[in-house]
Amino acid sequence: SSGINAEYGESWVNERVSPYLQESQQEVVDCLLEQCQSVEENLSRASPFAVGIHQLEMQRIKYMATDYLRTRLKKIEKYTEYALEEQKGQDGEESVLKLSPGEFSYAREFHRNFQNHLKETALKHMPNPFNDIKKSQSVTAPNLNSFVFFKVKEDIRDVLVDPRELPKDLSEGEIHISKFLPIATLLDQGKINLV
Amino acid sequence: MDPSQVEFIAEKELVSILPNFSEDKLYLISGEVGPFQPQVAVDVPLWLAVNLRQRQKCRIVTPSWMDVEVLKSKKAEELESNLFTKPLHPHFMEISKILLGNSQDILNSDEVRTLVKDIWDIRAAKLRKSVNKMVTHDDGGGQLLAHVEISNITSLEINAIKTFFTASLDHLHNLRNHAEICLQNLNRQT
Repeated sequence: SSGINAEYGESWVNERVSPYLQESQQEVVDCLLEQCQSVEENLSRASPFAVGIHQLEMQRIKYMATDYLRTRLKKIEKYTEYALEEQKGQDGEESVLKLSPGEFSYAREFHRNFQNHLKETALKHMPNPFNDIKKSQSVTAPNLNSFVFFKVKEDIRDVLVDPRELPKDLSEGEIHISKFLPIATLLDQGKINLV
Repeated sequence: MDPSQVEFIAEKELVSILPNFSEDKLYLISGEVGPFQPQVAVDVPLWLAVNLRQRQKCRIVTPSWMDVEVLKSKKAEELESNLFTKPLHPHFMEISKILLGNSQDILNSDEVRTLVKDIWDIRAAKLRKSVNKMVTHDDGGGQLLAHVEISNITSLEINAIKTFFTASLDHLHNLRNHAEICLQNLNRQT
């Protein structure tokens, strides 16, 4: 479980730094919270010395989990339509679902409520051509070309970090700055970490 | 990321302590710790070490890189080199701040504090210079740099410049792309 914890720490930082949602790590979060639960249940049997330490550790883990979920929710609220469109377009077998089931239903609710709010407060009172939301113009897309710092976890050959230059080899332990889009697949494959 | 979150991550690093009590192994979610024997050095995560110290249950052993001689030679190395040298520890600033806060255990804490701050300042100056170089880079073709390697830099240093630096790069690239598109349109019309 220390392995899960270390990996989860990296996923947390990746989610905080990246401009858009990463693949949902809901199972890892659920697993960690389950472990917290079982520790809490066994707490009555532990020595008074250990109780305080276990509680401290659980607070830390819960903080990481809640901050992770909070960051994802903020991104969902900012890019609701974009996320929903992306999810809908992924119906094949190889689909990588960025939103967990809970997040997906939250996104739908939020989207519906927000549209209603706009209609009720403003659009209803406007003359005819303008009184509905034009879908194509209202989607806020995340800026996938924003710059990020990343750290290389294993040697990778022939990476096209800049489309105007030749592909480069990246070695383990280096830190680079580049646009997010060229290295997004490397991030999904776990070969790099955002910093 | 918040600086406090970078510190949170640094608190997972291991430090050596000398407990003054005796306890069995502890099976924490993030790994095993212990067993604890009086005056026998054991490695624990920083957050646990600080907590035990506050409860007067241990003494913290000064990390090997927080020794005055090591720091002096590191500072000299940092002054000589133009690039960043390998940092004392990937989280040297956060750990030294936390440990020096409980300064009873660290030897020569004042000198250590000054030296660490000096090293930090030298690195910060280098960082400012390289940011400047990257932004004003011109290889003759009027193209902006879209990729740079900058190893040997710590998370806290990255975090200090990240928001401002990445936002500026975004804006610069946007402006440059927009200017190119306008130029292309102009050329097409004439």
